Parts: sequence; structure tokens; C-alpha cells
Amino acid sequence: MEQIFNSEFYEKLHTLRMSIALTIASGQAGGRKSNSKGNSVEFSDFREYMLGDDIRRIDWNAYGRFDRLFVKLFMEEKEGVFQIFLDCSESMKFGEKSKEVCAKRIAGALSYIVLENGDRLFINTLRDNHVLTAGSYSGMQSFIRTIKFIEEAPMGGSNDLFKSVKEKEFKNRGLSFLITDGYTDDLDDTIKYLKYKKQDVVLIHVLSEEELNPRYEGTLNLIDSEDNGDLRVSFNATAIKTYKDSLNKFLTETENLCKKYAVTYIRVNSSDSCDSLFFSSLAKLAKKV
Amino acid sequence: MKFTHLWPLAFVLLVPVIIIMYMMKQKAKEQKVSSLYLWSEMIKNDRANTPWEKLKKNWLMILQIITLLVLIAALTSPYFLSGLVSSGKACVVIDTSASMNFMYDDNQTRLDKAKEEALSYVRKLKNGTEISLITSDKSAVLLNGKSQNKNEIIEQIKNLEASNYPGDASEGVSMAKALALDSKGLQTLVITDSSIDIENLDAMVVDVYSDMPNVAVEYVSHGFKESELDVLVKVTNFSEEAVKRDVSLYQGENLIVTKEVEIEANSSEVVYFEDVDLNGSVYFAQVSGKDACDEDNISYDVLSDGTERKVLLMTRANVYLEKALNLIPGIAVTKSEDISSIEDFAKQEFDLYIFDSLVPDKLPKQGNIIMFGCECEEITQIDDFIADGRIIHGLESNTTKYLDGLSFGVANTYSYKVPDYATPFLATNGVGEEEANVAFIGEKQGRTFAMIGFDLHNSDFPLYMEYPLLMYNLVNECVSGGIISNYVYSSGEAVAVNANIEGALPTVVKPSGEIAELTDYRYNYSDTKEYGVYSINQVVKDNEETSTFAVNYPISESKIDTHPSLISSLNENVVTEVKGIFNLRNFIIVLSLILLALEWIFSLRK
Repeated sequence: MEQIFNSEFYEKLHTLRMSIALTIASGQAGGRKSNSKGNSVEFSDFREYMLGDDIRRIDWNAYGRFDRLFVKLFMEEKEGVFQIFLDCSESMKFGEKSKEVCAKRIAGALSYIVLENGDRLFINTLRDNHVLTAGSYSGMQSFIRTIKFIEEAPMGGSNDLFKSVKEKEFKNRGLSFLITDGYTDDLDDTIKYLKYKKQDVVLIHVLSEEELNPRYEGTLNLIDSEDNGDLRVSFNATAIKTYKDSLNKFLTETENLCKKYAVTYIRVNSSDSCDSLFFSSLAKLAKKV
Repeated sequence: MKFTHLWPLAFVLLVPVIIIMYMMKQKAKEQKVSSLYLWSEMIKNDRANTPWEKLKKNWLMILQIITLLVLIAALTSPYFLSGLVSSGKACVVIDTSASMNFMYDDNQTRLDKAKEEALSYVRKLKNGTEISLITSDKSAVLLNGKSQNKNEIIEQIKNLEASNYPGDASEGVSMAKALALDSKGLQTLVITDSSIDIENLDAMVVDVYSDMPNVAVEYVSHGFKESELDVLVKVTNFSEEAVKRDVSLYQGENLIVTKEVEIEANSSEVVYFEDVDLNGSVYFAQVSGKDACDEDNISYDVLSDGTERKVLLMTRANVYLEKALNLIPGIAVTKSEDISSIEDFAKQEFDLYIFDSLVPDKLPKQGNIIMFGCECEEITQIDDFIADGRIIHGLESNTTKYLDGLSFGVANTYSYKVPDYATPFLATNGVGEEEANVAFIGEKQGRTFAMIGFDLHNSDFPLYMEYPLLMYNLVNECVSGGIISNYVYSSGEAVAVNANIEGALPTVVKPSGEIAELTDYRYNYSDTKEYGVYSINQVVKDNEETSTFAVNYPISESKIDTHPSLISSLNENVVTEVKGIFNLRNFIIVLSLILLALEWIFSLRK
């Protein structure tokens, strides 16, 4: 198999300087600005003193000028909590440029961004209807371990996305990256569940070139990589058109679903180069924030 | 364009086989996909896809079918019957045997069709081409040699008539081969209805055979049972369907008796008429109905004159011989085992002497002689004495007539040196591959001599049904004492005339009334072209002696088993072999090679 985290990947990581600002309400003190106002050095706003406020925060100069008690508000700096859900089912291994490599690179890049920002990171692999969580990782010193875990995460077998995600226990609000090819009827439920668990969701939809533009000829017996189901198809222009119609329908429905639940949707073609992956797909993510 | 063979068309049946194989091939490869999630829609599509739709745009299959069709076309050897005779020398051989009088279709005979083909060929020849015209039946006739006058040839072809003789184009082909030795590059067109070997001849054969229904009287024969006449008629149906016909006996214009007979396809029926009342000696059997050939519906028979012939049988004891002789009508047999008194017997002037393993010191001076299992230097010398058991087989001769496939065993036998005047009729394998003749018959100075090399006791021959028939023929050949020995002939057969040298030269009156005077007392009269009753008249000492014989249609012409091409249609002639004619086969083979190359490229691309 192609080496997932090669020198090219690391080179690109260093040039990747994206800040993904997210609204985080809870978590450990960290390098991320929180919408919560609290104890910090960075001034944010004033408000009138209320009973119970720390009297040390009263701005006495303002009292002198306005004859009223004002309390100085500071931006509370908090640590962001990030979850990466990596679909490790058999279908992710598919493609000449396999979806696995692409998905793992994306997970690696996201880990880099998260750790570099001093946030907390959990990597969750979804396989055989179970979730396997690694973390929590924090700080760049844990990047190598993160990468190692992602790289070694085994792929194979079938997986029910919703079942496996449901196993995950969420303690805080946070942001969840869901990296999957989306071949499930439960994507809707999965997103709803994550939202319910107060997660901002980014769906990274990884598809291979073979899935987007199939080039089959003659009569083939198609075998499902996960459940070994088969389907005999005679390929001709009509057959390809039928497939493309169902693919477009699937993509549109997924996008609409994301819009509906305010989920950031990024589609990735596994055969795209690293450049395109980092500066187009992930940059799109950055822009949105 | 015409085709040499039509049988390769049977290979067209392979086309559906190719299509079926391609349909089966559709099952083919397995392809792993990440998930069938998006392919589920295809299920409906797949169901709607009929096997025929799957074959659409299957170029490889289409190429294969085209290649197959082209190869089939190559096998049929299409050709243009063009006048492109490069050498400028052409020869046309036309079969004019009796079978050419058969109907080719409802409107024309095979000869008409042959003439049409020949005319079309000759007209296409370039002016100045040297054309020879040969007709062929029992012998070949060169009607025109190396003529450059096309009109003359055309006129000759138009005037051709079938000869009534048996035969085929082989004599003509032999003559064409002889011509070809003389004129290099001679190209020959043979038009015939029977199979022909044109090896070593640059020739093409046009088949004018057509399978039209035909029923024929194969033969008529008679026998006397206590002075009552019984007649046997063998009728053969050469058609593919059973027919019901009337078989009638006529004497002149008078219908004597009729019987209805049903004959299965390609089989024969024998019709017996018992106690037939005839006034004269000539009658004929006729089968009703119009068919491809009317001439073979009639067969004549002639009753021999009633004088009884005297036969002396010298034997110790041979019940087989006695029984066989008793069955033969018109002879009175005297039996003796006292060979020493032969001279006394000879004074009684027997018509026939039969010596069965007994040899007299001196042969009688008159009368005919048959010898069984004897050595007699007065007649001929023996060639060998074969002491080990042998299979004896019949040779073609008058004696073995109607005894096709005659074969029996003997314990030992003499083989003879056949005298010049005689014909062998039984033989066995001698030393090496040569045949040893064990029986012969021949006529010398008005006497008939026959020798059979084995004793009937040492043979299983009397157990065969052919035995009495052969004996009948043998004795009949010896004791017929009239001007002619046989009374029924096929057209083309020579009639051996043996007239009394004391009378005038005999004359023959043909069925048409034409009279021919013979030039000798012993004469092989071969002008038996006309069917019907002939009479031979001779005036001896103011008395006119008349013998009657009949000439029938040569029945072998009704039975053409192998014709140039086994597949033939009425509207299409079939050329069996084409050499030097504008043949398309090579071009088609090149085309099929190109197609195969294309197919290869296609399959590589796939």
C-alpha cells in the first residue's frame, strides 16, 4: 500500500497554517478564544456590576467617571475539543488511489492543525460496529503518536456508522470531523446524534475516482466489498447513466442533509493530489469558519 | 455468380452457435466494488436488459460471424462463368446418354438444360477461341474439333439429341484429356448428370441432375409352370415418396392383365402375373403414370420358341445339377454315368453335353459342351489347381446377368487359361493380386464351350439362391440354337447374330420399320438405339426364318446414385470443380484473413 504519511505530506503540513476558529463553550484552559467571558488577560467588554461579581474586577476608573460600578470582562481562553471519526470499513479500502490513504491523510492533517492550536484531540476509528478511541492528545509533542495511531488503524469488515458512533461518549461540546464514504442509510441519524451531543459537525465525504466516474465494460458481476452481495450488470451507456443518476442523487441528498443540520460538508476525491487536498478541501473548511 | 458447392451452407447453422456462446460469455468476470449502495438502481436496468440488447455493439462477435460467413462463401467456391479463357482453347463435353432424357424441371429435359448451359458458355467465349465439341454416352464423339466458328458450334449444340445409350461423360472426358495433350491450356466444360472424375484436366463440371420423381420397370421375366406362363415384373420407385401405380401387361395394343401396386420411396416391388394368356411371343410390361422419364416405364420381354432341346448329363451322381436342370424350361435331360459310351450318345446329336467331373477321351463333334471340375485340353489348358479353400465371385458377363454380388466358397478348383473366344464369368484371387478365372464360356465355330473349375459337391454354391439362376443362364447360352441367343437387350448392347451360313445374309427390322442388312452371318449388331421390338430375318432354302428380340431402356440410367454435386436445386447449376475459370474463392479467403486480423486487433484492444 502507498505510504500514507510520506515526506510530501509533512512538507505540506508545515505550509498549512490555518486557524480554525470555533465556538467552544467548555473544556480545559487552552489556546483557543472562548465565547465565554472569564478570567483572562485579554479584555473583551464592560458590564454593570451585579451582586456576586468578583469585586477585584470592578473598573474603578470607570466608577470615577460614570459614578457607576462596571466590571471589566475578559475573554476566557479555553482549549477546543476535537473528535475525528474515521470510518474504517472495508469499503474505505476501495479505489486505485484508495479512500483509506486519502481519509487517513485528512485525519493526519486535521490532527496537526488541532494540536498545533493547542487543542485537545480524540481519534475515533469506526469498525465492526464499534468505536475505538485514542487520545486525548494535546500539544505538538503528541502529534507523532497521533499519526502512528491513524496510520496503523486497521481497515476492513463491515460497519454500521450509526451504531459505532453511538458507542462514543461525549463529555464536552466540541467539533467532530466525520470522515466517511457515506454508504449508509443512517447518515441522517448519525449527524442528528452528533448534534444532540452538542457537536459541531464537519462531514468529510471521501469518494474514489472509480465511484465518481466508473469505467466498466461488458457484463460484470459486481461484488460488494463489505457484505459480499453481488449484482450482475451489463455495462453500456444506459447502465452508466443510471449509475451516475443515482450517484448525483446520493450526493445531493447528502449535501442537503448537511445544510439542514448546519453541518460543514466537504467532498474529497481520493485521487486528488495532496495539494488539492490541503489547499482546496481543507482551506474551504478554514474559510467557512 | 454461381456456386461450386452448396453443402457448406449447412455451416450457417454455426452462426446461432456463435451468438449463443457470446450470450453465455456474458456471465464473465467478477468485479469488486466498495458497496452496492449506489448500484441498487441497476437491478431494474439489468432486468430490462434482454440477452439481445447485450449483444448490441459486440463488434468482436459481429466480426466473427462475418468471418464465418465469408469462410462459408469461400467453401462454396463461387465463380463467374465468364468467357475469359486465357489460352483461347475451349472444349465442351456434353453427356448425351439416355438419362439426359429425364426431365430437369417441368418444362425441359436434362439435355435441354445442358444445351442451354453449353450455349450460354459458348456465346460468352471470345471470338477466335478454338472450340471443340464432344458428345459422350457409351462412347465419345468429336462433333467438332478446334473450330473458330462459334455459330457452327452453336448450331451443333442446338441439334444435339440424347442417344438412348447408357453411359456418362467419362468417355468424353477421356477424349478431352487426349485433346488437352495436343492443345496446351485447353479449358473444358463438362455438362453431365452423373459423377465424373476430371483429374488432370483443366475443367469444370456443370451438374444438370435434378431429383424428379420417377418409377421404372426394372425387368420383366417369365417362366413356364406346366405350360402355364407366369410373368414377373420388378417395378422400382426412385422417388422420395411412396406411389401407387398400375402395372399392366400388353401384347401390342392389347391389354392382357393389370395389377395395382404400391411402392415405398426408393424401393422396389415385384409383381407376379400367373397363368398369363399370350398369343405371340412378344409382350411388354408398363407402369402407369407420367414421371421424369417415360421410356423406362416400359420393358419388353420375348418368349423363346418352344422347341425342346436335348441335353446329355454325364455324372456319377449330382442331385444339385439334376435339380437345377429340371427347373429349366424347354430342355429334355438324359442322364448317364457311363462315360465310355459317349460316342454312342453323340450319335443322337444332343444339343448340349454336360460333363460333371467325367471327361471323355474325345469330345463329341457337335453340340455345345459344359464341363464341371474337369481338365480338358481339347478346350483349354488349366492354369492352376487351387487346393485351398477360396471365395469365388462373379464377373460381369451375360451368364452372371442379374446376379450382382455373387459370391460363394469352394474347397478346391481348377483355374483356366481363358481361350480368346471365351469370356470368364467366375473368378477367385489367384497368386498375388491377379485374379484366377475359374469359369468361362465362349462360342467357337458355332459351338458353345463352358468350363467351371470346381465340382459342385466341393462348393456351397448350390445353397445360394443365385445357383439356379446361373445354371439357367449357362444352359440357355448353350442351347439357344436360333439366330440369336438372347431375346432381350438394353439399348446400346450388341446383339450377337449367329445366322445359318447356308442362307442369305440376315436383315434386321428396327421398331421404326427401318431395315438394315447385316454384312456377315456372325455379326455383333450394335445399332440398338431404338427401344422396342426388332426382328431378324434370314431366308434359308426359300424358307424365311425370323427371330425376334426386344431392346429396353438401359435401367442403369434410371439409377444415378452419385451426381456431380449432392446438393442441387432446379434453378441453379452446380460446378464441382473449377480450375482456370474466374474463381472467387481465393479473393474470399484473403478477405477472411483480413477479417481475422481485424478481429485479432479488436480482441487485443479489449
